[in-house]
Amino acid sequence: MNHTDDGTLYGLASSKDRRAFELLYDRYEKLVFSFAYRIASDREIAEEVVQDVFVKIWNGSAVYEPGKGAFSSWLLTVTRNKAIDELRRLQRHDHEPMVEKDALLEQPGSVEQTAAWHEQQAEIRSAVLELNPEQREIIELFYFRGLSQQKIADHCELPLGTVKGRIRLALQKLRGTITKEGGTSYE
Amino acid sequence: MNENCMRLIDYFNRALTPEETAAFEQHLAECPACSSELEELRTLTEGLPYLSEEADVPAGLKANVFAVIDAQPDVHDEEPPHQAGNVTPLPEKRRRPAIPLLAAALLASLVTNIFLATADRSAEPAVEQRNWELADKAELAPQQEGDPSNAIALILSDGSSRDLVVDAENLPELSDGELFQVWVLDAGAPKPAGAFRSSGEGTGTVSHPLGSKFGAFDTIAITIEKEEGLPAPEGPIILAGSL
Repeated sequence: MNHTDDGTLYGLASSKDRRAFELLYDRYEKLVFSFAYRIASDREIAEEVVQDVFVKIWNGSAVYEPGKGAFSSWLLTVTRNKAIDELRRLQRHDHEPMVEKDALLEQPGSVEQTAAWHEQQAEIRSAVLELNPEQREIIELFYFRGLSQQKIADHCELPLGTVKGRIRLALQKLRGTITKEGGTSYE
Repeated sequence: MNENCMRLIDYFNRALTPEETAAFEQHLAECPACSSELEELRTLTEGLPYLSEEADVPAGLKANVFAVIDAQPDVHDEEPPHQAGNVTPLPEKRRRPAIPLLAAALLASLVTNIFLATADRSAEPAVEQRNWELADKAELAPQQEGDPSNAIALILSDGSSRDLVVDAENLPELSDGELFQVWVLDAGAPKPAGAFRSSGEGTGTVSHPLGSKFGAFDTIAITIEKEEGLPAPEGPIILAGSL
C-alpha cells in the first residue's frame, strides 16, 4: 500500500480510512511543512498550516477533485492559500517586506531530502538561475510572499498595470527553460 | 477588459475582500481571458513549492494533527461542500467503520496504475492511470440486533465504467457450502453483484464490475446463500444500507 497512488489513498481517506490517510500524511508532511515554512518563515505558523490542511482533508471540508490535476498540486495550493491567509490574518503580511534580492535562491537542501523533491528542486533551481534578478524578485514577492499587486508595484517600482505582465513573463521564462532542458516538468 | 480583469493577481494571492472575491469569481465565469490566465498562473507555479528547502518537522506535529482528528465529531460527508468551512458536524452519528487494509489493497489493485519503478515512494508522477473516483458509498448496517458485523460499499467510477467494492468485517461464521452474496436493488428486483467467503477473522472483500444492466440502484445488501448469483435472494439478510 506504500506504493498506492495519491488519488487512491485520497479516495480511501475521504471514506475515513485512517490508514490511507496516515500514509498520505506521512508522504506529504515534510513537503507541506517545508513549503509553509518557506512562505511564513515561522515554524509555529507552518505547524498550524500543516494541521489545518490535513484536518480539512480528513473532515472533508477541503475536497480534491481528481479531474483537475495531480493531488500534490492541489495539496500545495491549499497549503499556500492557508499560509498566506494566516500571514495576512496576523498582519505580518502587508508590511514592507524584507526581501533579499535573491531570496528565491537558497542554500541547497540536506541530503536527506527525498529524491523526487531533490530532483524537482535541482531542475527548477537551474531554471531560476536563468532568470534575471528582477524576475527572481518578482516571483518571490508574488508567489512566496503572496503580496498584493499594489505592494509588488511599490516594491519593484513598477506601474501597477505592468505587474501582471511582468509576473507572467518571469513564470513563462522559468517554465520555458525547464521544458527546453528536457525536464520532465513537475506535473 | 474591465476593472475585474485587473484583479487576477490579487485574487490569486487572496488579497481581495470577500465581496471582491465573489465579484471576481462571477467575472471569471464570464471572462475567458481571465479564466485562462488564472489557469496559466496555476500551471506555471506548480513546481515552485519544490524550491522550498527541507525544514525539520517539529517532533510531535503528527501526534498533534492526529489528536485533533481523533477529537473531531464524525461529519456528514455524503455531499462534500466545495468551500471550506461549510461542514456541518452531525452529533452522535455512528462512527463509520474504517475500511480494513484488504479493501485498500484491493482498491490499489483495481487502479491500473503503472507505477514508475522507483526506489523512492514519493517519486510518483501520476502516469497512465485510470482515474478511479469514488462515485458513491454506503455503510451497511447489520439487520439483526446485536450482530457486530458491518461493511462499507464503495462505487468507483473511471468515467466509463463502474465497480462495486464491498468490504465487510465481524461477519458471522458460514456453514459448509454457504457464501455471502452481495445484491444491489432499487425499486425493482435485486441483482446479484458479487459473492465472497469470509476469512478466518470474519472479514471479507469483493469487487464486482457494474455493467450497463445494473442501471441505477440505491440499496446494497448482503445475504447468506448456498449458491452464488441466484436470480433472487433466498437466505437471510445480514447487512444492508442505502447509497
